[in-house]
Amino acid sequence: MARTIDSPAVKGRPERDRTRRQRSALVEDRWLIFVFLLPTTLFMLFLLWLPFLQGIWMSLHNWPFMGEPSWRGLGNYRDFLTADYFWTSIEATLIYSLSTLFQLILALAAALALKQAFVPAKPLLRGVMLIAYAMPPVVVGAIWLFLLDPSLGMITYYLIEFGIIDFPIYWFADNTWAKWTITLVAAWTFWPFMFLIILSSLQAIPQSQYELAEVYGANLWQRFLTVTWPNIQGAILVVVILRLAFNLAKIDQPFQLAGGGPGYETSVLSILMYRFAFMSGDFGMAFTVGMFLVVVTVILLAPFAILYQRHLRQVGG
Amino acid sequence: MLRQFTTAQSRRTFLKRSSALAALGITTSLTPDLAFGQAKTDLSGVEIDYWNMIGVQNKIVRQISEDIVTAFQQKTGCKVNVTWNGYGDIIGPKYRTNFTGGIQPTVMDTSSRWVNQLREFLYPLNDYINNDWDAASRDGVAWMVPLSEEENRGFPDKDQLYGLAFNIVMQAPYLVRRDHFEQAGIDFDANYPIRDTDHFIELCKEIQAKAGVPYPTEVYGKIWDFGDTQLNGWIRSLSIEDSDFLNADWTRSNARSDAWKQGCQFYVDVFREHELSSPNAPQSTDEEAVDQFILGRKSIVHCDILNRGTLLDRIPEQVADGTVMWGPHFPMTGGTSGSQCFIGPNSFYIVRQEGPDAEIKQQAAWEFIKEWFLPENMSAVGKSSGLPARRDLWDQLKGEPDRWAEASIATVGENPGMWTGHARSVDFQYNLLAPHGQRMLQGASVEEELEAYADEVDKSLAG
Repeated sequence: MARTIDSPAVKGRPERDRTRRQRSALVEDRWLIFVFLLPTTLFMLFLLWLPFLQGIWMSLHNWPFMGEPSWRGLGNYRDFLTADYFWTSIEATLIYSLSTLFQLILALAAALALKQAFVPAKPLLRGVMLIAYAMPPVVVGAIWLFLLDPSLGMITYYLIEFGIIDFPIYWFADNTWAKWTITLVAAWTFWPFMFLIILSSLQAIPQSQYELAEVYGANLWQRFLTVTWPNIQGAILVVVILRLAFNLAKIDQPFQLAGGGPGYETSVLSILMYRFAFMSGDFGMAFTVGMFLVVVTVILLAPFAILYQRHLRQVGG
Repeated sequence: MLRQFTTAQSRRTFLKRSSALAALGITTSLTPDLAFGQAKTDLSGVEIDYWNMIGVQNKIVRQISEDIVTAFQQKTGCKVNVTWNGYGDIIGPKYRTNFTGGIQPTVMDTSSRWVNQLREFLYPLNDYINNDWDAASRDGVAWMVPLSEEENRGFPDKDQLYGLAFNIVMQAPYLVRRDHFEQAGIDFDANYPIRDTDHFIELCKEIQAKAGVPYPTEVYGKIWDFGDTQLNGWIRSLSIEDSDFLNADWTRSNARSDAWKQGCQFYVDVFREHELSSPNAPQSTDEEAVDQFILGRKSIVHCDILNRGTLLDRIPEQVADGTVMWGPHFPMTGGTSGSQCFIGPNSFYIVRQEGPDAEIKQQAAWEFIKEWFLPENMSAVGKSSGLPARRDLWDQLKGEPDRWAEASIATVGENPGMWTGHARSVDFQYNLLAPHGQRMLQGASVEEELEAYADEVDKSLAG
């Protein structure tokens, strides 16, 4: 019997061909994905993970800058944990990380204000608000050093002029003031980054959602909770994660302002790491501090990362 | 990376510059004849890299440095590529990183006590000094040789001279305002120079009470100044043996000694008990204090002689009429050691060269160093940045109204100490000490902080 195209044998061939083509396309797609991922993977491997693993290895050694390393086991960790500056540095790091919160408050307030229809000259205001972020942090630090100078600074002058204080405050000579001052200066320097992201997120919210909320009689606060917050939550979590990580790694500005002192009061972990690595040439201790910095960073970031994952699941991302 | 130093300069620029320096009594080997004349020593075709650090101190020294480079190029035909650096570059990672990465100068100047981290890269100068230098220059710096050995006493090759001291930064003379003395009704001539720490406190208190200067002096807590200005001289006045950071054979810290305890306690007392230093003391620096001094807000401040350039630049009239004067550092009351000074010279170094042109480059570097050691160049730098290392030039520097040379020479005295040149001296003198110093100034026990500091130094030495 002659085979017709309806026979099962002939009918199955195009299906097999199609499946084969689909598989082939899938394999090609996968290869393409691998090709695209390769540079990033190699970059991460050679410039992040291998140095990180080498850092762990170095933290187990006495590793002078120009000398032979020698095995110390957990000696560096023991020394660091028992050093009298350990808790001082952890405390300074935690306080300094609060600058992220202050940045968020400033950025959210400014972005919400600029979203309001009645605010004039928005492009100009946006530009003004970005000035601090457009300048190098060291320049901002220098400006603040001048502003806060007890003899010449404007801040001291006006605080005395308005009767808020009787005597100049020596911001960086006092333990408590020094810690909070570097934190607030960091907040002032970096808040525009958050502001930019939050503002762009706010601007993407459809006006119809607010109109609908108004139809249902929602007041300002209720509109914020039911419309604004759900729409910007993801962006906020992203910027908090980014800024928190950036802040914890910041060295230049806090070091410029207070030099890690008085004592070790403003020696956040990143400054301590810098001091060991580049001032003392002790890379073993520097990487030991670095490992603690990694742990602190992970602990502080974890809740926000979890929240962000939840948020992604909620929005189907 | 290296910034090319331009040799092009017009006669007009030259005359403008040289007359500005001449107004300050500063002249260099860059004479019009040289600048616009023919080469006299042939190093043409040779190119050397020079890392300058002394120029960071003030504009005048920078200008003199440029002139000396120009003069050398004109005389020899050698091309000199200059990179301008700051002290932080050698204290921090820049020099170490560059040297290990193969980016090195042919010749450089820097503070000698920080250079031994780079010792393996340096070329000894003994042969050049002994066989290729005029006797007057060699004899002039001969007094530095035993001091250099003291500085490098922990190295097996301590008798090798890797560096040649060019100018002497002594720690630390003080600046005094004659007008504040007058306002307080103090007879300046009867009370200058200050005799000892009791006299110092007495004068400061009188000025504070009668001249209305709230904080007439300053003690410094900032990392680079706590163990680098007046404190160490006071400790040395109590005991020469215990005054350096490390003991004689570099096996332990000296900070547990009574001299250190007494010296640090007095330093803290100036601030906490006598309240003669500003509340910023835990974070203050001598540069800030000099700034306040210039503004008339301080009366007696210890500082590097290097600050003279700043004074000449900002208040030349007060320097010229003797309102502002330098005085020699004074001992602690009861300190009878006969010395109250450490010196940290700025020295020249030749970096060991590789390859076929190594010898000629090293020779060119030596010729360049010799240019700096010409009497007129040493004196010119000295007038704004510290005594020249050539002792035979000292007398001719005396007689300025601010008495900088007299104060400097008296501070150095006959038996100055030399800071230890241990490869980790930056750590011992600054990184490890300053946090403890700042805590002392904030009220922590001097004895406990010194004990903790000494433990850290000992651990570092043992590690």
